[in-house]
Amino acid sequence: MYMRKDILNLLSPNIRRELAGISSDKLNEIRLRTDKPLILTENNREYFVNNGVLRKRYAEELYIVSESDLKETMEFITNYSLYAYNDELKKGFITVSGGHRIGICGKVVYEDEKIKTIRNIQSMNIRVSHQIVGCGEKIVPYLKTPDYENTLIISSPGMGKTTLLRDLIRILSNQGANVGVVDERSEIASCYLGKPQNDVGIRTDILDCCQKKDGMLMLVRSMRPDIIAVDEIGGEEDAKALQYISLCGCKILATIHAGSLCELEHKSGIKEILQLGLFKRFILCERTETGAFIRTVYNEEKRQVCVCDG
Amino acid sequence: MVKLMGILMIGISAAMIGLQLSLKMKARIELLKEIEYAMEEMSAEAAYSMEILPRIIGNTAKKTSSVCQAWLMALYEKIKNTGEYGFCQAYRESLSVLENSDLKNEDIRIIKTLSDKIVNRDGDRLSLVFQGTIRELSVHRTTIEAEYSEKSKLYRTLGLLFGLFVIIIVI
Repeated sequence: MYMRKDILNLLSPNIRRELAGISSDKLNEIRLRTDKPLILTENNREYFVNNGVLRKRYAEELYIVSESDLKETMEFITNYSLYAYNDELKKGFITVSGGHRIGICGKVVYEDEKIKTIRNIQSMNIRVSHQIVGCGEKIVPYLKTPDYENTLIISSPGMGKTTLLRDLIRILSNQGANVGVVDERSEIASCYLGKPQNDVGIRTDILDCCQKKDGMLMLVRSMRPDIIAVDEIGGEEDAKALQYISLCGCKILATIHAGSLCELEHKSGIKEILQLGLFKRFILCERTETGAFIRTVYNEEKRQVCVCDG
Repeated sequence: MVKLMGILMIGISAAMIGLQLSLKMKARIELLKEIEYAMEEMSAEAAYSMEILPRIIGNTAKKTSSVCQAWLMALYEKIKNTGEYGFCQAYRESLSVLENSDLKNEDIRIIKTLSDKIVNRDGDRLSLVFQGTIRELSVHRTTIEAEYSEKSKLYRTLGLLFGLFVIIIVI
């Protein structure tokens, strides 16, 4: 399968020509750095590009990204309208149609000790969006007794917790729950011009680029959610907000960075929440030595309920 | 009688040359005014609505008329689908509409410079860029208007004299 057209259309014409003949259906990232080789990441492996072919090793005659490549790519990413993306630039990333996220690096301009914008962009990282619809189907029945229980998804980086979170939101929403999502980094729904680029269900309300501690309270007050979903909780403010919304009768679906249940118990901020017994289900996302994903569901007593692969 | 009518027609046609030159100058000034107005609109919409440029150009085109509208629509058609054209290329190709109008090369040169300045500008600098080009156009147009007020009468008078001259010669 050749590279997706919605990704190719973001790139400068020269880079597009280089990548047009490359087949890739598991592309993770495209990295552009001024005067440096073009790098693609596929299945977590790095590749360089030479005359339209992927190469595993650094060598001469690789495709080198020029300044004009970056300028033209920036034009297409922003629809010729860099000024319209100022808020996104302040955060250091832009979400585009298709749900892809583009990280930007350059000269940061401050005003009154706050980031005003990023200029002289010299590198970018195009992270390709991959929604895996159905990856949560096997897990959902174990999260209900029979009503949905507060669930915490735990994993190290790159283990697919956001992908799983997204699919659980979709399933729960389609099954009848009003789901409120606080999408602080625009990774869950990947909204572009107000429209979610990923399927997050028919009863889902999204607060895009909103801080979790503010968003959870706003949703509770205005949208009457049955479930509130947030990504990467941690810190005392998040913990306080979770406690509050739990007292309001909302269920919680959240993720957290941790390599194991043991590591989770020692994480500051969340330790207190765990002690309150807020979460009744824990999903640990891991990867086997062969590279396959496995998800283990635990109950509130940390007993294994099921193991799902994929 | 027929001869007299023929002579009169030749005379009037000759006089009309002068009038046409005068009208062309006026049309040029009107078109420059409309382009200035279009740029003011685009600058304001970019500053207040933060809408993307293709939509701003499409919206502004609807508020203008004839040549200016045709130019903006030609530009909009090229950039409405991201990835087909770079903005500078699209902008320069769309200027062919203006090149076939009453505008002269010196007018189009000023309008052409905007393409390089718009691209990859953040909000504050975009506003400055538009205002800079509008000011340049405004000063240029003022010069042409001063020329027009001097030359239009001259062209019309010369046209009339030429017409009379032709009539006399023919008679």
